[in-house]
Amino acid sequence: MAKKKIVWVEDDDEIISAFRPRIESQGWELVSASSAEEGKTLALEVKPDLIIMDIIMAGEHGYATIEELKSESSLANVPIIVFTSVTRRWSETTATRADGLLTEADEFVDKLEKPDVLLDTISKYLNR
Amino acid sequence: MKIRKLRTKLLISFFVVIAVFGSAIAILGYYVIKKDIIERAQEKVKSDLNSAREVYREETDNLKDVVRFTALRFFIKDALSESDTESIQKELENVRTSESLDILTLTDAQGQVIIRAQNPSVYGDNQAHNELVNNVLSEKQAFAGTVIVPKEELDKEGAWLAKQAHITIIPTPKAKSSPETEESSGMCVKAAAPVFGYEGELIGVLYGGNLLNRNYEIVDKVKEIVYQEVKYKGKDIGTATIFQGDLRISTNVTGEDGSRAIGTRVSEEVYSQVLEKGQPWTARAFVVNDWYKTAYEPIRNINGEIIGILYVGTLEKPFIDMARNIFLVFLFIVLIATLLAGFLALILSAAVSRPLTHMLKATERLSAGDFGYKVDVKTGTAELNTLASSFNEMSSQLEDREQSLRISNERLASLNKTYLDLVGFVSHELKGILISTIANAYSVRDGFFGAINSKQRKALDAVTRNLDYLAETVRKFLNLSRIEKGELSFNKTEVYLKENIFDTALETFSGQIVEKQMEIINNIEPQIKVKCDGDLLLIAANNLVGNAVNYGFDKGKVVLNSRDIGDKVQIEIYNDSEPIGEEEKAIIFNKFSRLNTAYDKKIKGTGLGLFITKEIIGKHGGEIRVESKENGNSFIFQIEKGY
Repeated sequence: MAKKKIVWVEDDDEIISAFRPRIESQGWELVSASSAEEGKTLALEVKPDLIIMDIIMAGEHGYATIEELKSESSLANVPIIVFTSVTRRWSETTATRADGLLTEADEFVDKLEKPDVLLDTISKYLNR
Repeated sequence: MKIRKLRTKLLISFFVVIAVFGSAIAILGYYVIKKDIIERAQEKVKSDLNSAREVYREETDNLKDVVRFTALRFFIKDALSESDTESIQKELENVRTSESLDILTLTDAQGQVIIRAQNPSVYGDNQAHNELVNNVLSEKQAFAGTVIVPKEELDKEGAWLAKQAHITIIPTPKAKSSPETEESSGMCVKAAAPVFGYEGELIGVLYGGNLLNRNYEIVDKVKEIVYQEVKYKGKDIGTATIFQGDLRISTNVTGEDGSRAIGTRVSEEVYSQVLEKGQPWTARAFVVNDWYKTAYEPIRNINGEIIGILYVGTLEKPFIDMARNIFLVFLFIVLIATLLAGFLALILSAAVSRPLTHMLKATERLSAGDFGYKVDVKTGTAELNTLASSFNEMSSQLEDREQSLRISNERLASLNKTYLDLVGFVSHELKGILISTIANAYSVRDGFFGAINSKQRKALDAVTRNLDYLAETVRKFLNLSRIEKGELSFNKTEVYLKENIFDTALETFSGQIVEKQMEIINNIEPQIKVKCDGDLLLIAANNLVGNAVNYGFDKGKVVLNSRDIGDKVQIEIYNDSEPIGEEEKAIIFNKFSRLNTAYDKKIKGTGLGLFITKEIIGKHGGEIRVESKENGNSFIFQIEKGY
């Protein structure tokens, strides 16, 4: 069985590297992009099984990227987890689950949550 | 007590005083004027009676003079000595008609009638019994007076006299009862004078007289002299009457048919007072068809016996009208004075109340925050000026105080902002660092960066636990800074309280719930939905559920209940825990408050969670309170449904 592929759009390398062994230990393949533009290209190329999206990044922000990705027919059904410390309305906040549900994203995880919360959320979609 | 405006009160007081004094003066004036006028009318009628008496006396005196001077004339002496009766009779008749006498009769020295000027066919009778003749015979000088002449005597003097004297008595209800129906005798003014011979010896008596019955000369003269025939509104202002006994025999009081009202009798009261007691009588009387002030006094004969009454009456109406006119003028003056007083009262009350009204407005402006507002200090009243000055001073002081308060508030606000900015900045910086630090720490602890031994594992457990606490603290500080800076925007959406809020909150703390073996009873009705800011409400719910779990007893219960209370929903979060004391309840929702309980000492906290919760619920139009139970605590809040 081919490895499940995850595209993670995140401009903070330290976060990716902290999570990478944990994700890979689950048998998933992690491809990261450090900007929205790179993320879109990568997603169209890789055709991932799941996308993790940061919101505040240099250049285009995450919400706009989610809109674009969801409008791509090949990616419309790919689940997107928002992983951020930012809500839509607040410049900086504790992220909330309810907030994420209000976007077109499928899930919403606060960056300050314990790492297991993100892992549990990913496996909810990939281990089906 | 009824509450009225000062001005109304002043005006009412003024008008009451004015009305009381005005009416008192008017009533007093009415009585004083009336009394004065009535007394004057009384005096007037008394003096009228005096005048009438004078007229009457003058008549008598005139008669006396006429008789006396006639008696001195030579033809009378000659008549007695020569007995040329025919020519003498003519002479006497001339005198009688020229002096318009009813009777002129000559007797000899024994009183035997020699000639009657008017009735020469009757003579020879003796008149010595006649009191006047008798007096003249004995005293040898002239006498005059009023006498009652019986019918037979009148007949002798002339049948027509008896006829003129005869009066049919008209029954009068108030008169003294009397069986008589007619009066045949007459009342005469008579005078008698001695006739002396050439040697000075008494040779005869000459007497003359006028019958008063139906003779209106005297009464009309009284009217003419005393009242100048003045008429008041078509009515004679004065009337006079002569009574023979109690019978009206001569009057100018006219009946309704215009004829002279003779034949009626005087009232019993007057009869008793005047005829019996001989006293004058004055009274108000209704004569024919008007009120008169009347006066009566007795008429006496030569021997002082009362034989009749002299009466005058003065129409009351002129006096009443005068009293009324004076009173009207007086009333007019009182009215003008009252109006003037009322006008002054208006001005005075305005002078007092206007500055007070201004001051009242000023205090309203002051209480509305318009500090420094000034009122006019020149009110015209010393006390009010002082009050106004004090007010202005107070107003200035308030303005100064307000100014300095505003400055210090602004300084405080700016300090607070600096503090909040700092909190926000530090929290934000910490957060950025924390995210990767926490992820790395967990990855190291969980062995993703190589195997670790149990000691390392234990140390890293502590590291991650503290990092989680640090993350939670940073979150709360970020919320605090946002709430205090007013950055909490409000975005209402439709939210199911159970599914979207409390289930989520319980799920967040599911790890600890399992760890503490707690029993969760979520009774919140699934269908309850509210229009609210879901993000904010979830923060509040997380705080309340987190507290319920963290501060609850191991193996304790956490119970969530909901209740629909009209336009609001009430939620209660109960846990089995140590009941919170009264003192602590008062401060529990304050910023940075930590309770002095055994649990709080064990469990770390920022003292921010309930403050933030209270703020969020307040934004949803609700309130939160805590109730301690026997073996636990309930946090109860309501929020508006928003529908």
